Amino acid sequence: MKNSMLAKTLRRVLWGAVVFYFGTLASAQTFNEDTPVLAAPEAAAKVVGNARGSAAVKVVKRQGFWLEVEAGAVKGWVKISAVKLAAPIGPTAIDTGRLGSNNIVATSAARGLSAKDLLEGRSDEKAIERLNALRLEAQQIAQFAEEGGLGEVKLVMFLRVPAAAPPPAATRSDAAPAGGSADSGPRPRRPRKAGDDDM
Amino acid sequence: MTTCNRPPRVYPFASAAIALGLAWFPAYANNDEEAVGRASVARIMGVAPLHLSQDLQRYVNLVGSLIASKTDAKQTWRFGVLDTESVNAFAAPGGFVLITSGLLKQMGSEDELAAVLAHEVAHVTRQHHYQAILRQRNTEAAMKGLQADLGKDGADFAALSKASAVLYARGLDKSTEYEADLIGVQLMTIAGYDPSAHLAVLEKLDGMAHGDPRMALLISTHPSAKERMDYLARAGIERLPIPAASAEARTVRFNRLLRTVLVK
Repeated sequence: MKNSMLAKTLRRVLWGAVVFYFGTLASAQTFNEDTPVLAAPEAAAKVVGNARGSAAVKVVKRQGFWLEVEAGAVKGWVKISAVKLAAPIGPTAIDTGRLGSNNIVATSAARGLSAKDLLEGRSDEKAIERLNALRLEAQQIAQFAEEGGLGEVKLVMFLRVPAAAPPPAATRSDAAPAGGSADSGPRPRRPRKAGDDDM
Repeated sequence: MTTCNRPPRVYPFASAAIALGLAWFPAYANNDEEAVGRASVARIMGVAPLHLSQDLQRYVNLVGSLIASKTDAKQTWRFGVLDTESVNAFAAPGGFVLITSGLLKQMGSEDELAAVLAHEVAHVTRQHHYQAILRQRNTEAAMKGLQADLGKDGADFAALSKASAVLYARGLDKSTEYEADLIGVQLMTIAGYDPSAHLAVLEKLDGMAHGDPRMALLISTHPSAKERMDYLARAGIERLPIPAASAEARTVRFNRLLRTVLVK
């Protein structure tokens, strides 16, 4: 009786430690660089403190491209690029690292669409006709955009492939080329309709 | 050394054949992409059928076609909603994009839906799946010592369908997922949508339980949501303009369709 109670307690403590460990890793977010912490999510807001690069940070919420953060005693807003959101090691990395490039893990999903379903499934060619019948005219699309208050935006600056690869390469064998380096990574084809002279 | 003095021989027929081949290639490539795409979506729709609501299908086609109209790709774009609880979206060569009702239910706005569709449109314009199938096809042909014959007249639909099933079960290289994010977020911005909605989608995916079987295929075929957010931040997403105009009209039509059709 006493032994089983002890075993139960030990198990609880052990699980608690595991949960705490992964919980800590998952929330181990840090700043990318020295950054000012602002009172509001706008560039002109008052500076309430300065965070040091690589310092631990807790993200409270996001608004647009701003993050509300707590870093030690300082609370405020920083640009999203100032924080490294993905923890270096953690449950996420373990989950996504499960697949090698050649191995298919046929996990089963609920009703639906798992790798196993795809590999063992059948084809429905007739359904393509239903898809084809859904095609729209340019005028219908233009009207939809207008009704939704959507006007074409001319981009004056295009995004660039970041120079450094995403961080947790060491934990995921298939992540090495992800994001690419400046000279080996894929280059996005710029949408041609917007500002070809802006790059 | 004197042999170099001989004038080069001219091959008029060969030149003509090359010129004709170059002129014919784009048409061949488009037909082939369409064939590969048809086999791919037929397989996916054989596993998860199209949703029965015509209104919902039309709405998703409108959002997707608007995004696609901002590309310079000469594709016939077709968008569809799959009736399944799985949380995922698929692109296929030739201009096919499919999104599951399970993922649609997670969307909080038309702008978030636009972000998902723009990511898939980018996969198509960059030929991510088509190139992967071509590589697979060439490897198989080399191994068998046969000439690759898929995509030609009388293409082996069953073989293509099987090859696409393997590709969709395994997923693309992770680098192509980052690239689709990068291009997709720019496309949706050009179309007038709020690019920060792309981050909202990634936050939702991140917030869903990783042990959730509805998420299994998406998680195994994509980098983690947080890594994708970091990538976009480093690529300079915060320099994209967030529209000042009200999204009220979009909210109304989004709620009418998604809340009434999908969430009962």
